[in-house]
Formats: sequence, C-alpha cells, structure tokens
Amino acid sequence: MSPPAPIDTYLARVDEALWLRRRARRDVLEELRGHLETLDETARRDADTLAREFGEPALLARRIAAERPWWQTTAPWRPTVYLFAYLVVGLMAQICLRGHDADTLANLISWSDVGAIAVATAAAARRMIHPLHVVMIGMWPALLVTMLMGGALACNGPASYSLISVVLTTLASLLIVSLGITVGPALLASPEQWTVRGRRLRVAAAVAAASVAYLASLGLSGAATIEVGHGWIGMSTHGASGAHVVICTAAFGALACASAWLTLRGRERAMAARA
Amino acid sequence: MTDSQLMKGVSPVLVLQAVVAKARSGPEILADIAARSGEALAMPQGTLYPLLYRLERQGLLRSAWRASDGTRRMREYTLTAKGSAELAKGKRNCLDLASALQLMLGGAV
Repeated sequence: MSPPAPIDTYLARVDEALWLRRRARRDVLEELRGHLETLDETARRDADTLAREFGEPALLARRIAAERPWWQTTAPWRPTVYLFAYLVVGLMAQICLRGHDADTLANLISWSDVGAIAVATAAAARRMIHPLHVVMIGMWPALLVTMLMGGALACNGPASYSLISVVLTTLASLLIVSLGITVGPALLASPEQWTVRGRRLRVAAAVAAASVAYLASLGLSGAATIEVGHGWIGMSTHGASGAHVVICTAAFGALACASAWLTLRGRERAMAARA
Repeated sequence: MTDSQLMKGVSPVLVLQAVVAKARSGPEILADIAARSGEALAMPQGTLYPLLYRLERQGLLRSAWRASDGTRRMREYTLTAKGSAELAKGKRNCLDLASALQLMLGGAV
C-alpha cells in the first residue's frame, strides 16, 4: 500500500480536530482540498511543508469549527448536554406516566441510559461525537442511580451506605473518565492513516473499552444496591440490574460493532475511490 | 509584507472588496488581494477560511459550489446586500484611519 499523498495526510490531521457534523466537515475538507491542490508542487511536497504554508492543522480546524454555525458543530460539550437532556426529559416523562417511587426511578434512569449509550456509541463510531462522551454519558446515570439510592437510604436506612456508594461511584467515574480521556482519543486518532487491520483492532479496542466503562457504570449501581441487602429499596432494583446489564451490554456491543463496521466499510470505500 | 496583527483588522474589508466585482474562490481571493496591493498585503492562507466562514455566518457573504475544472471543486463567494453595506462602512473606516496615520506618521520612516 503506497503512503498517503501529502494533501491527504494534511487533511486527515485537520479532520481529526474538526468538530463538525458529517456534511459540514466534508464540505470544509473538500474546499480545503480544492485550495491545497492549487498550490505549487514545492509548497505541497509533504504534509509538514503544507502545515507551514497553510497553518498548523489542529489550529486551523479549531478556528474553522469556531466560525461555523452552532448547529453544524459537534463541540465536545454539546453531545453530552443533549444526551443528558434526553435522559432527564425521558425520565420525567416516564415518572409522570408510571409513578415516582425510587425503585422505578432507578430502573428508568438505567433504561434511559441504554438508549443514550447506544445512540452515543453509534455517533462516536461515525465520529460525530468524541469517544470520551460515550464514557461520560455512561457514567451520568450510574451516578444518578447511586445518588438516588443514597438519598433514599439517608431517609430510610443507615446513612453510611449512601456515603459509601456516592464516594465509590465518584471515584470510579473519575477513573473511567480519566481512562477515556487518555485512551479513547488515542485509539480513534488518525483513522485515515491506519492499516485496515490496525483500524479494526483499534475500533474493536475502543468498543471494548466503552463496553467495560458501561458495564462498570451499571455494575457499580448494582453494587451499591447489593450493599443495601434486604433494605427498603435494594433487592428489586438489583434483581432488575442483573438481567439489565447482560442484555444491554450485548445489545450495546452489537450496535457499536455494527456501527463501527459500517463506518470502516464506508471509509475503505472512500479511500479506494480516492486512490 | 504587512504585519499579521495589522492585517487582522483590515482582512474582512479586503476579502469583501475582493468579491465585489465577481464571485471568487478562496485561492482567487488571496490572489486578488496580493495582486491589487502589489504583493504588499498578503494574507496567510490558513487565516482565510475561518474568516470566510465568519463572514458567511454573519450574512455578509454567500457561497456556492462550482466545478473549476474536471476534477477539482471550488466554493465561490459572493457579496450580499448586507455585505455591501458593511464593506462601505469598513472602507470608510480604513480610509479615515489611513489618512489619520498619514498625518501622524507621514514621512517619518
């Protein structure tokens, strides 16, 4: 396989930092490609020369994304806010329909999480959002569930349980989010420069990492309820959580793999067409 | 070549001026600015697109794809009515500033 042309390499670097939706991103990259191709041969001898001539790719991408209309961007905070809003709105709607006991709340939060995680994973695989967001989104409901348990226990059981579960969940959240910050972007960086095998491995690893994060977040809420034992709220929620974890992780993994596979196929076809 | 900090303030006016007569693509805008200023006002290439997108977002420019040759697609920009008004204002400001600087610094180099 021949090395990518300097313009392809340069644009791949721009693409990495270009937080725009798919169509807007394609338009920007195509426009930049048109411009770069007008430069003379000396200016586009290699990607570093292009960067000197045209600007540092990540900086250029950030400036461009900052100037595009807000609805075209996928700024790192935005998907998190959207999906969190989805969770809250979905939860409120279901509370109104089904009642408002804490047990139901905990299950509904977790089930809403499934939808949010599935959507987020599909979006991350297609690079609409950052892989880190999948992890962050996965953590929110776990935190809510555990805090809900903690709140209920503070009123109805030993206060130490609520403290333990909140501390445990917060620590695990920090650990998993830190892992996501360092590992996620590295796993999915520069897809255009990966070999086919390398790309598959990396996407598989990213999906596995997200699955583990998801399992950890759900498992952690389960763990919090186990501690309650036969308490006021614990067992029924935990009973639902066991099946929930297995089914949802399987569904989530399948969806993520399908999405990643489709993305890879699309990229491979695009690269073949370009070659 | 003019200092990039000085260029920053006048760049929007230069870009709007470059598309007054006809629709132009990014490379054509840069070439026009360089040619009409006798190569004295050369915008760094990487600063052009963020600026074009900002002007478009502000409604001063409008853009559309055109095929410049068989394979390469270029996006070309045209001035809107709002852009014309903004250009007139920007030109006035620049010329006033140039006159004031001429009075202040003229012959002092």
